[in-house]
Amino acid sequence: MEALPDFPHITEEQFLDIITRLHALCTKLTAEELQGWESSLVQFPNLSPFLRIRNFLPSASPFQWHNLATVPQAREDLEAEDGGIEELIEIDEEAIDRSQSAGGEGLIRATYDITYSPTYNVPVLHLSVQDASGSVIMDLDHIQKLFKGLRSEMMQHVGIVGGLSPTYHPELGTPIFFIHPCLTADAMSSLGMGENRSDYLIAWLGVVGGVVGLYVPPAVALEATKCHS
Amino acid sequence: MTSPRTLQTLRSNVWAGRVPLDIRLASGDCKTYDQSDAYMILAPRISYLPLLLPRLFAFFQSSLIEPDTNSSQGWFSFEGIPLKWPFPIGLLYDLYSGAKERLVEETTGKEALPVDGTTAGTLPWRLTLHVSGWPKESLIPLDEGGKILQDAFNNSVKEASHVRHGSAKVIMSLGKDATEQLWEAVQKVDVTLYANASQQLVRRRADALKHVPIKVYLPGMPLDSSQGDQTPGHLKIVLGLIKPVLATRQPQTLGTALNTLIPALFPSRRSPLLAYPILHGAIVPLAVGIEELAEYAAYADGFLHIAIAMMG
Repeated sequence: MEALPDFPHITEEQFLDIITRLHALCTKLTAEELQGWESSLVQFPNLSPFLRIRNFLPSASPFQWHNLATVPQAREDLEAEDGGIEELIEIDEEAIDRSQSAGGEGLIRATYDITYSPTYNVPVLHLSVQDASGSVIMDLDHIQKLFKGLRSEMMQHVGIVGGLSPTYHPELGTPIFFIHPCLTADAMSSLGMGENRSDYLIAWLGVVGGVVGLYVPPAVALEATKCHS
Repeated sequence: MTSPRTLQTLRSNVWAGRVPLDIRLASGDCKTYDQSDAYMILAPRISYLPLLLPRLFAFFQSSLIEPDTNSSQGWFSFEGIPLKWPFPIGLLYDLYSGAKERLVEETTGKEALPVDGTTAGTLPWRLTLHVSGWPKESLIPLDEGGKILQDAFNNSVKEASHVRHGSAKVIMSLGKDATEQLWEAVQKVDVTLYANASQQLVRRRADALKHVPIKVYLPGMPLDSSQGDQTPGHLKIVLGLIKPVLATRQPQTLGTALNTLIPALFPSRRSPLLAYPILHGAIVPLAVGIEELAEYAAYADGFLHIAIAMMG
């Protein structure tokens, strides 16, 4: 049955089905459509399966974000004005300085693991961010600084679903951050969408993913909701 | 039906429970290398290892190679395995100290032993205190103010409350005072303070208990490359929603609960055939009612943290 009768709660069987569907969907899209998402279904012997999404986060400074995403466009615009190009170069240099003082890494790897909570009956989002040496950053202040550079409205999500807490990965036992699931069900109840197997995860990501920089690429959302007949 | 007085005594005994620890400084952190003094303590079962750190640092101060290290850098290992500090001391002891294996040997064929607060005949559990080289891939870091430890405790309390009431509303409506009081009770090991605070959190007259907060810890599986990135000493923790009453209207027992959660290890609801459930250092009879067990023998966070010991 497509509909989820206990929405916003789901059973373990429904969870397994929806993560399998999302992963299958992702395998059909191009890298460009996926906007950097790499998805995998992780299942070790004796462990419960979970969905892993790997992505890159642009690091701290908002100038860098601009630098990565919009400079070519800006350059064209500014070429049309006098003195514009020098201004642009100044911004670039600042961004480079900032990047070097932040450890030289312009891009940071984030791994999102979506597991099932048998006590809350909803998915739970776990986040690990690795530094340049590959170790997981477990300092919350450091993580929050990384996300600050992305979008300020992201932190507003914190009030809706709660913030990040450290925990041990429920399947792997490694230290990781997670968003406590206690408010997830309430937040999803007021959405008006997501009540089917095909779009539940998209809705859930809309509610919970914003806190940690996990945004659903438009192509993924479109494909998922297309399946709903 | 057990009398309220017996149940109160049970809870007091649980809070009075102590485990003997023999803590020595890691040779890499110690001026006298592997000749560290031993700090002996009967540690409360319901408490947490990081709460011991301030007094341990005071004791070992003169032996530390780096005397200015903050106590939040302290971590414990047993036979090379870093001990996960969010687990209560009693649970860690039940899981790793070897006591449960001795208990199974002594018990096979006999009746289960009662819970009591003494430690007669038990060996001290030998732990190593490290003050450097925090194992980031195994342990969540602590902060100097003790907030991370308290937050972890609060998250567990929230989860137990959610399991009991089926929603986050009860705990959210209580505000900071009740949860602060619970933590204070843990720090002071004060069962009366705890009973007062938990009165508000545990089942209220008007609401029936929806599910029983229980976590079952399965014996460690051998670590090999097919297990992926698991940490050493990692356990499988089994959770599930266990109702206080069965569909037949009979009360749920520990046996029926374990048979539901891990039928492979508990094929019989009445007799342990393959494994024993260990709680607060004792084997619990399968016939015990789970609702009462949860109300009076839970750890401070509200959960029944049950270690499983395999037979033979």
